[in-house]
Amino acid sequence: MSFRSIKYFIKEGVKSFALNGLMSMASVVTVSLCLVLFGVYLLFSMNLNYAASQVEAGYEIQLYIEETADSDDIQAVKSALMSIENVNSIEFVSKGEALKEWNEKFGGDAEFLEGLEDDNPLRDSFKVSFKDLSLTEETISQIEKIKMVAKVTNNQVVVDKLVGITTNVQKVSFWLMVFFAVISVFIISNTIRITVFARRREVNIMKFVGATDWFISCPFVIEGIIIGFIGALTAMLIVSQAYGYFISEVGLVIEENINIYDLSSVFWVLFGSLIGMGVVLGASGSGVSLRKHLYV
Amino acid sequence: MIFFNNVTKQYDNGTIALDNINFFIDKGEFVFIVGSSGAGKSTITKLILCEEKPTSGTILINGIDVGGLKHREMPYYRRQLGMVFQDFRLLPNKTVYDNIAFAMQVRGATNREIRRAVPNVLSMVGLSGKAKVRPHELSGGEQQRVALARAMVNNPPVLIADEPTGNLDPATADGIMQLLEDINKRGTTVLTVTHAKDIVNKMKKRVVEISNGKIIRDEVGGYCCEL
Ligand SMILES: Nc1ncnc2c1ncn2[C@@H]1O[C@H](COP(=O)(O)OP(=O)(O)O)[C@@H](O)[C@H]1O
Ligand SMILES: [Mg+2]
Repeated sequence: MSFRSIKYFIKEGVKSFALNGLMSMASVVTVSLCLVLFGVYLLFSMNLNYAASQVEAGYEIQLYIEETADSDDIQAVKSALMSIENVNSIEFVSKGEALKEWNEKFGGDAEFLEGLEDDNPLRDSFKVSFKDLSLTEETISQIEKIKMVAKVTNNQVVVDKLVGITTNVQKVSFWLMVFFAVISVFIISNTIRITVFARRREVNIMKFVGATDWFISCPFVIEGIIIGFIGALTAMLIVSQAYGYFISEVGLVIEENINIYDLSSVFWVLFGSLIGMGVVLGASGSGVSLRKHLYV
Repeated sequence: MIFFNNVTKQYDNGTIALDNINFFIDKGEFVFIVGSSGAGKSTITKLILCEEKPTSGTILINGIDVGGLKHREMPYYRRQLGMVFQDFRLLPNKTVYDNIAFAMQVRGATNREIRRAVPNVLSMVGLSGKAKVRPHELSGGEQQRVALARAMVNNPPVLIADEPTGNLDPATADGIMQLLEDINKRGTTVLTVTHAKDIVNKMKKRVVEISNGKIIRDEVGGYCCEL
């Protein structure tokens, strides 16, 4: 394919995009609507995976020991834990260490902790991580049966809640996205149909001088791609602004130890995906139309 | 070169435009197809161009069975034909040069080939000075010359002209016919559909006359009298 042809295809595509003003605008708006939803879907999926990986990597339970326990009891708990097959690592956190941790966390100026050094309300505990996370529930119930174990906590509830919310948003945005994708393809194909109709004389001339279908359709496909591309840019602007706002309101830390991505680390993935999806929508929209109106 | 064997064309609405037509045109011939309006002349050009398929019979152009062409083969087949129409069919928003270059570009010609061939063919039709002009700034005769230049730029073995002088005054028409004759003398087979009685009489070429979809006369050097 010669440079002259490429120049010709692009020039013709841009020209008919501009000449088709209102229809082009309508197409761009629907494409960008679809792509905004696609962007939302992507952001949720990426952050969900990210959160899941953080939870898995840092998953541990904390088991608290009865206040009445002495050091022999603690030793007994430790060996009981070690005998459980699924236990990966064990870390003992004494009352004193726990208090120090609290102090650090609240910058040492947490007034309600003042004067507690002597009468520490916190308990000794173990932090335990597992080998196989799918056996979490069974292992926890085994641990709960150990003598002198008062209470077992984990961040499972938080995780479940997070996963619950995001999968719902994911589902809704996915189906809305599919819906708008269909509408986009429909509207783009209509726009291209109008172009083809307006230029049928030209198309006829091309046919009798021996232009292949491919050569004839290229400018129309490029027109569709331009629609998709501009729609993607619009969507990118909307999604990145909205996500930036969301982060500034909610912050990068959703729950203790669960971070979400900041805008800069997802920007290019998002940008690439939206542009790619926009181009695919635009090209398939014109493809649908050309199949119907050009190849007859 | 051009062979119609028992060709019948019935349009979808039932009109029988051609009724069992037979003719053979040899390489290098110059042939007029004449007949009154609605006789079926343009149907012949449409069949040759593969815009329409024959209802029955066989059409061979350059040894190619036109009726049996697949959709994707048509562009390549059409590149062997030069076509000229009554209404010129130039692209209005392209210059004369670009209109002609386009016919080469479509076939994947390089810029170099285009730069060499277009001025050549423009000087052949006597429009060297008009390369940068758009079609609407030209007279009818000049527009038809551009169309001829476009048809000839790829050196097709066959040139089909459907009423090429239909929109032109007699003096201009003579000029176009002269060009067709020149093109024929260089070895291109020329098939010209026309109404113009004077021209046919003057040029003394082979004349195929059609009436109601049938050939009623086919004489070499024939004289046209029934128009
Ligand atoms: N696409 C078409 N559909 C139906 N009938 C047609 C079509 N094209 C031509 N005809 C009919 O076929 C006959 C021959 O037409 P045509 O070949 O165009 O004649 P000519 O070129 O000699 O004037 C006419 O009766 C015309 O009405
Ligand atoms: Mg006609």
